[in-house]
Amino acid sequence: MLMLNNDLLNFNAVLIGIAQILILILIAPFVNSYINKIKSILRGQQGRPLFQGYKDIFKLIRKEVVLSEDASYISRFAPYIVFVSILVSACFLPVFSSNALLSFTGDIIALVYTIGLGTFFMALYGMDQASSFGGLGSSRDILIASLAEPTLMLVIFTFALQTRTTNISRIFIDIHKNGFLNYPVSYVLALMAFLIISVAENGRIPVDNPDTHLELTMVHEAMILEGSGRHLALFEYSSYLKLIIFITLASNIFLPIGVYGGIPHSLSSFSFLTILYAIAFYILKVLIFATPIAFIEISMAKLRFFRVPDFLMLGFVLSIISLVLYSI
Amino acid sequence: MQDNTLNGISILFLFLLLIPVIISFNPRLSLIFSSAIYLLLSVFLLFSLLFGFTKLSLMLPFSVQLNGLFGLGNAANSDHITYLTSIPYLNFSYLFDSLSLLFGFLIAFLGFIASLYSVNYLYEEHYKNKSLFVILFNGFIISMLFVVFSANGLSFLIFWEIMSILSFFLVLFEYEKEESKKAANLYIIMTHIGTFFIFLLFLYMFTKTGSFSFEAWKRLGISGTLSAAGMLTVFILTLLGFGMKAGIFPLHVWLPKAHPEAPSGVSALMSGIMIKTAIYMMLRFYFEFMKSYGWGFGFTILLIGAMTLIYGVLNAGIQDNIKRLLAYSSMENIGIMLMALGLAMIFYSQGMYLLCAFALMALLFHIMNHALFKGLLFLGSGAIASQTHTKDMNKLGGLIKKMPKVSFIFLIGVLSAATLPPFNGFVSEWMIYQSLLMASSVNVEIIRIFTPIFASVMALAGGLAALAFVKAYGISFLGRARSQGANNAKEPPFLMLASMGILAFLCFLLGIFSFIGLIPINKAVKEITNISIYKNVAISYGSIVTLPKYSMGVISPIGLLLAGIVFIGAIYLFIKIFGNMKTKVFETFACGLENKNVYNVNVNVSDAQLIGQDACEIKSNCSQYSSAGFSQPLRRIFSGLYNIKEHLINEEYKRKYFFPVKNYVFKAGDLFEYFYNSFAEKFLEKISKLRARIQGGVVQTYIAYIVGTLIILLIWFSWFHHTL
Repeated sequence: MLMLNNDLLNFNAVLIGIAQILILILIAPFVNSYINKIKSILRGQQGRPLFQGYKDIFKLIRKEVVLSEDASYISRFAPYIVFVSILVSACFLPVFSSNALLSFTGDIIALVYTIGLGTFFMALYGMDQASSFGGLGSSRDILIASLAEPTLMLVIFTFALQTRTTNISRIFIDIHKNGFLNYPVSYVLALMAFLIISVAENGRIPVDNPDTHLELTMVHEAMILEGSGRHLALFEYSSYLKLIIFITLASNIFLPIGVYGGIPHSLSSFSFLTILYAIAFYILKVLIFATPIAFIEISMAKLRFFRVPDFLMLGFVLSIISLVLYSI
Repeated sequence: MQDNTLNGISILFLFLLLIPVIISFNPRLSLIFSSAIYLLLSVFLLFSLLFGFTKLSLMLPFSVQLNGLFGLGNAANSDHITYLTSIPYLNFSYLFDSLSLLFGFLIAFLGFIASLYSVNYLYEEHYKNKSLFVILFNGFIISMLFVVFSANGLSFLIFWEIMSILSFFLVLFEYEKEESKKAANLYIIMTHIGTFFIFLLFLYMFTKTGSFSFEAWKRLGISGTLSAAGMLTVFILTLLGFGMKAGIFPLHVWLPKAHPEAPSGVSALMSGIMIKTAIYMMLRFYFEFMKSYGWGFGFTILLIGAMTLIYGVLNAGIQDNIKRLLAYSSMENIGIMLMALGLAMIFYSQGMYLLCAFALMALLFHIMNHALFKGLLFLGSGAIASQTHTKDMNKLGGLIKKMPKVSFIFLIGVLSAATLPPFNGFVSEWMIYQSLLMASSVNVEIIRIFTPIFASVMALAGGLAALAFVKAYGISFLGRARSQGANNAKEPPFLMLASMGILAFLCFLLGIFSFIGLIPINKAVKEITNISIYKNVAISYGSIVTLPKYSMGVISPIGLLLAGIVFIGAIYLFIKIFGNMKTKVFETFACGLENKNVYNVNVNVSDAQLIGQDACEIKSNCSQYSSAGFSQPLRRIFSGLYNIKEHLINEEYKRKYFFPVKNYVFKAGDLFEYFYNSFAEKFLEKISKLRARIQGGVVQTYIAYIVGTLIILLIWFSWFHHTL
């Protein structure tokens, strides 16, 4: 406890924490564009430029919002709540340093539930305009999210059991210190389970196709179909951020190297070069972890909606095996 | 001195509580009066819980005189009162320890809210016999209070029965309805089966101790003379007896039927606190009357809790009746509580009292939170039902425009019930997750392997609860009205709003400043485990901390909220500076269908005749998702766990191809009710066939029976009786 309180008071730790959030916010659209670019290259197309994500967001922010006449205050607030819930949960994450900005306010369980708050409001937003697609999207999205949740919690508990803490920074420091080579098989299986969950939670291809607006297959897009202008920008940005949160979690837990370690006690002892190295290394790791997503998306077809539970069940079984291997 | 004070105060409150019954000819006045009394009583109980009875003699100087006036006997202990009666073993003795005071406080507080609500609600719903309602309602609350304060098996059973029967009458309150009759019948049968097991349990305890007083049973627990087989007997009987009332997994059938049928104020009380009196007695049995049992008991409870949790939440997702959805959600929450109870028992049996204290704190906090948010949701559903005259979500919709205040209050309840931050449900659920994580330090292999699986079960249930509540809120409040009733809804009167508002405020307050709720709970936990862990758990900045030695976790709900507010401000400013704040309002795209006066065909038709009345004048959207449609994927994925009947009926056969009028009938029953019914059917059939064979209606056979009986009697007499 004492350590955490000291961290809170340490001005430099706060600076690093804020820098981490800014990095997350800044690279989120880039990573999405990067995945799209790789997909395009694999298809033999030239693809959109790498900075298209930023342009889209700015374009949307400058457009006016068209709201349904049936919409209530839920539609006006939900985009902000969705975005903020994702942003707050991003604050619990260690990004390039092992200390997160708000590591004392929330742990990994709180992260899951804070993201859940966003999902909840997005589903409400989908139902607020009395359209058929909104309800369809809400119904499907929240079901997929709830079916993905047990596996996510199982993976989390596998790590929490090993490190005896639910604090993400602590888990991260522990794994960093002990190395994951103690339980290699267990880790590989947990990573696979986590990948499946990330795909499902972020609505990527075997579960949902983020590029399509076909009514039979839409899940996430159906919910925000009525969104426009700044509301749509917030929804888009929060889906970018959600993806980057999952990638960060995966890359930091499963590839715990090249992280900026301690907190300097005075401003003069800040070594900006090390921080820059850590940031560069972090971005490299994110890109490494983002590439398989593009490969999966290009090489697989979207599953039928009622096949998705089987796919998620695979993740669950993998995480159970990982847990059992750890326990033995 | 203290005993006299206590006696005096209880007599005073009894007198006060009689007044609403006496003036029940004026229901409004009576309810206002009773809400004032319950508020006073809850404040008094909270005060005595926090500071003890010793300071009370200063509060009421005339209590001694009151006591002298009635000349009642006292027990030796300061927190006991005993009245002797002339019937052997039947003493009306009461105990006021921290645990019973905590439950008593919750009952009195929820009683205050419910009676405040009912002042307006009774007139909104146009019940016929309002005076009767007032009498039953007050009797129900008072009997619950007596149940938790009873310290004698027999007197406990008397009040338990009064509680059950009064709640039965309240479930049957709208006795003209077929549904109410069926639900009430099921309820009274099942609750009496439960009482039968409780009676057996108490008789068993009597044979072991020779007394019905809880004091003697507690001595038995401390001495630890109960054999392993004896403890198993007690365990099974408590599970069957109290589990019936709590609605645990295979015995839950009555709960989702009976709770929705009662008037909403009563549903709030039944779901909010009545089912938890069973948990209260389980706590008494497992932590006071029994000791040094193995981890198996706790593990069994944990397992049953997990099953209750999953079954409840899966069924909550597919319900169309909003109150039945809430009732199933209560079942889910009972599951969560049982999981915490099971964990506490595991820790208790392993002698890990610190962890036990943490799990108990999580349990009691969840009980308190659930009482608040489920009370709120039931009251809110009553507000909906009284304004729209339907509980069927397929006929609701668009209420957020008609009743904005209720919609906001209900939203808070829904968020708390879906255990999302920053509301109270999240904090207690988080504490239960942490207790699960701590269970990994128990030195039993099975528990260590199973804890993450239980956690994933809880996570699944959390996700599905979010689904159920998105459905409850989204279908009933958002979108467009699906019926004339929903279109004509208005904001309910002030007292209904105020009573719900208080609960919503408390849900938010306990979510942000959770340590306020943990202070009284700590007293009760300390009494059971002799460890005060409040200082370990709550620290400054409103954080909740686990026990660092076993598992390290910190959350600070206030920090979460502040971070959220800061971010919202920042984003708003960013968009204001760089973006466009204009908003244009336009019609929703309805898949090419016209937005005109048509009725949504996709309707649950338990009462099909209503369609004809409703299909007029409202601007509805044909393509809007319905409640049955929303849960269709869930129904399909978990189809093995439901008992569903759905048909699509062609109403007009001539118009088969062009604009056919179709009727979709959907009925969601409980799978276990179906099992029990089919079992009972077969059993009764066998019995009646046997009876038909015996009682064939042929006179000769009956004469043969008489002759046979005579012969047997003669033989019996000549062989056995001559020895006398």
